[in-house]
Amino acid sequence: MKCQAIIAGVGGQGVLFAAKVFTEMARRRQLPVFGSQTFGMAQRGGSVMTHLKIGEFNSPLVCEGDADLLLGLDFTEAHRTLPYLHEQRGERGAVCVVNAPAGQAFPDSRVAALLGSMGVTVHTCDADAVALAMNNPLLANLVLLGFGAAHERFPFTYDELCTATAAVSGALRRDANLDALERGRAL
Amino acid sequence: MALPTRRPTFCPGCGHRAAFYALRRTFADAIFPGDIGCYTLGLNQGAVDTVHDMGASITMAAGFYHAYAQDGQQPPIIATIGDGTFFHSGAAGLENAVYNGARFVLLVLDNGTTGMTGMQPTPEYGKTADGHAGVKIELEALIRGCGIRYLAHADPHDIPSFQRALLDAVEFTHSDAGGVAVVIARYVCVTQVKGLGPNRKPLAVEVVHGPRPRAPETLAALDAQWMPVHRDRLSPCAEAGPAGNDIERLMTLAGQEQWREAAAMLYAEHPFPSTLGRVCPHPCESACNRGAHDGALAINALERLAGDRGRSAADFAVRGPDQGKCVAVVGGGPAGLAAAYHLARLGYGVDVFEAQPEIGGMLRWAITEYRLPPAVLARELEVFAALGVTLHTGMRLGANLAWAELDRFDAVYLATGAWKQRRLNVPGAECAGVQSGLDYLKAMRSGTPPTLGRRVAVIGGGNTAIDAARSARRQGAAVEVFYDLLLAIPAEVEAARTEGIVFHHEIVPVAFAAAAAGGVQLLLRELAAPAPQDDADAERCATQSSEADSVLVCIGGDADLDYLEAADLAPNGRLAVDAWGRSRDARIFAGGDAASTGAGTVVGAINAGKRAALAIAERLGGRPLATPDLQLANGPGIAVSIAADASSPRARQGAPAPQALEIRLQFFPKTPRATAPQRAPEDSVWNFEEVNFGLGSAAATAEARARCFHCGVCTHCDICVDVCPSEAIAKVDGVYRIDATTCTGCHVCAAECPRGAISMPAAGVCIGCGYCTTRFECPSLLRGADGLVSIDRRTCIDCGMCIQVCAQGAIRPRQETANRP
Repeated sequence: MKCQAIIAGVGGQGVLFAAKVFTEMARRRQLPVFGSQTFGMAQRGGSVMTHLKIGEFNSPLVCEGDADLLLGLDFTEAHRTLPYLHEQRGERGAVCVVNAPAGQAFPDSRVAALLGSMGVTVHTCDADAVALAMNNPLLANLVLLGFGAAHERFPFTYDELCTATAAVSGALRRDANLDALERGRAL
Repeated sequence: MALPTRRPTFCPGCGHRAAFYALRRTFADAIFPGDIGCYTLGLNQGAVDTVHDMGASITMAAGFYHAYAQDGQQPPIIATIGDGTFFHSGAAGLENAVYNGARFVLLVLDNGTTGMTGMQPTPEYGKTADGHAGVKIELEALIRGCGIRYLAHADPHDIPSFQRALLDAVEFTHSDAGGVAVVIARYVCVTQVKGLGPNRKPLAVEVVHGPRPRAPETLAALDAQWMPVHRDRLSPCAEAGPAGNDIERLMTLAGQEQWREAAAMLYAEHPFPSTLGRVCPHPCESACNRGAHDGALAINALERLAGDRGRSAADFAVRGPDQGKCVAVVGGGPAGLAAAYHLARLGYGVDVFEAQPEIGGMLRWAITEYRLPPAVLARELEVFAALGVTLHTGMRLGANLAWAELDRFDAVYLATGAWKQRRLNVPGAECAGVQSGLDYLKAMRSGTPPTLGRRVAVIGGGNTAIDAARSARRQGAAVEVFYDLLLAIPAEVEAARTEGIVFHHEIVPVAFAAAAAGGVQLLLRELAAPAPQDDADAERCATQSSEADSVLVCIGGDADLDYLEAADLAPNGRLAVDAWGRSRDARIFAGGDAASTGAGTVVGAINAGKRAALAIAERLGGRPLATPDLQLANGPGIAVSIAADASSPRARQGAPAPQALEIRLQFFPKTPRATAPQRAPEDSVWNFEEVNFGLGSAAATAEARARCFHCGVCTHCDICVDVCPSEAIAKVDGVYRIDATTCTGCHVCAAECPRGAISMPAAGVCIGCGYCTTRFECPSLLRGADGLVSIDRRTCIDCGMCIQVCAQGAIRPRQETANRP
């Protein structure tokens, strides 16, 4: 399997944690994985993104026009990272999963049209609302992961996601994290 | 489609934000080489100019120094670097900078971690990245090891002290032995410790909202009443000084070595600067805002020097245009002479009638030569002949001068002093050897020194007592002073002590008696012990005794007003007059120690004489006495120079004097007060030569230049121009102009003016100026579409720093009210 993914968000949203879950899933399947991320400014309100390359690759960064999957924890950051997605390749178009109220991911019709012509499938999920309902806005990243895992082209199974998340979570947060995944999947 | 720029910013409560805020507020034009870490974000606050590679803040600062130095310039350079980056790659550059003689300030922002990359420990922490114990390396030791001699610590959460530390460091870089100065600002990473850390208390804040001085729709220009105004105010020294001197201006002129101009300015107010500079108890110095900082300015010494250097008042004072009226001044002491001086300058004919053979009053006949040399006084008295004042000496009203002889004058000023000595009401007060201290001093100044004997006791704690004691000491006596209250000038008391005079605190005499071996036996009582009910009781109440060959009683004097009708007497035995010397008889004025208002001091007498001169001028048809205009704020002083020129800058200084709290002490390094050299006691006790040599002109100029705050008076220091966040203040042709369309009303200029010379009302509510959100840039300060700021309670960690930032006073500690959860 080869998969290139981008996780985009804002400092504090848990981009790095989401990336950690991915690397754990890959590790458990004994797949080589590269995870390269924006440091530092993550905690200070800036844009944060992680490049994930799972499978046999020789270089760590995803090239523009090569990503199979974009997880946007913030819809403006999703806009910013759209150029990484690839165009339709035979049967396969890229997948874009965005944290936004329904239909609000790409409100500009020109952007939506472009994505359509590129064969990108867009799924929106109001992860923020779900996390807020759980009284913890920090869980939006896991809600979005749970939601994304339901997609057929998500590189791992939902069970793998749960196992990996449980493995990298602290004991105090583990149950809440798994709950967030479940609520995301149910959307 | 435009995406929002996500400018990263420091976390709420971050110490870096406080440090950069203070840095930028202190230095507007400095060069700020920055480095790589969280603190690179200092560029948001305008306090990071360069970001190159790790450690480059130091190497670039050194480069900037050398580049400017070859052109003979040295702008302030303040480099910032974190502890982690300093350990990583700062030390080598620092060694290089020190070795090659660079001069700049290095501010090490030490939060003990590598916050930017996820809290990896620094060598200071003592743990390796994988959690094992490491060898702890002390930051200070490493910095000193690089050859740094100037290393200070400062806390940016206290902005004034942090500013002071930075200013001190910059001063070091300019000093002869200067080099690289390092300041360490140490605080925790609030994100690492998830809070303010152990040493800081949470301080919840709130923004006060209310009626705004202007509505958002009128952003075009700020209403005039909310604009800052550069308005000079009266300095507290000038307010406290009875002589009416413009002391702040004296300091400016002295700082420029313009002694002649300084003297001319003093002579506009009174004729005795050389005298007052020697004998005045200087209430101006007591009011100096510098007093609590590092000691009041040596105002007295500067007045003396200005008088001494400025030649005689005779060179300056000009007789006014003849008014065709004449005034008799009875009494040629400081009050009478001050009145005569001003009356003559206003153009009135003045005749002074003096009972003694020479004019001068207490100055001539009581104050001792070693404090006020006769030559100095004589020179100051020259002005009266030059002004055409007719002096009649040896004329005593009621004796050889009849009242009728004063009828030809349009007004009469009585300033006959208080020469009738009080006697101690104790048994034996008349016995041989007990005499009045004032009579003794008068005899000394008349050139007929009385013989006192080997042991002298002085009763009293005023200036006359000290003068008598030190004079007796100069006649070779061993002197003891017994007093209830020590009212004399402290420096005089101290000088008397060094001359070997012994002081007995709160000991008063109860009786005197002739001693068996000759001389006087003093029976004394501690003030706390019971007082005798009658003379017979006196001996029983004595708690100690002493012996002396002579006793000098210096307990003050009363006015000898036998020459007056009893009807005009006030209950306290002094002539009843108002604050301007006006008595019941519209033609008769009085002042000084003779009058009910009293003078007490030479400067008080000068004040009285000046007031009377103005009141007399008004009575004789001169300009009306606009008392509120001439009075210096709430102080006793009256400024004749304002009467002379109502449009003078001085006349506009009406606002109350700035108090110490309005002075931004951080701008003023502590500098000890200049002290004048004194004649050594082992020399001074053998002669009557002047003891105080006075300040030299170099020391005096330095004192004025380096130490005067110029409270309330704009010195064109340009700090307002530098601190204005919207660049609304500009200096045009030497005058500050404030653009009402760009001024946001933030109040920062008024808050930051070192000397309280900018007037501006503080709204006390958020006015939407945006200063806090742009310059402090805390993400917990949310600015709405209307410009108003509120606190984001979800992210605020209650660091409380923004209270210090809002100059309008709109951010305050959160008020706990009952209806708040």
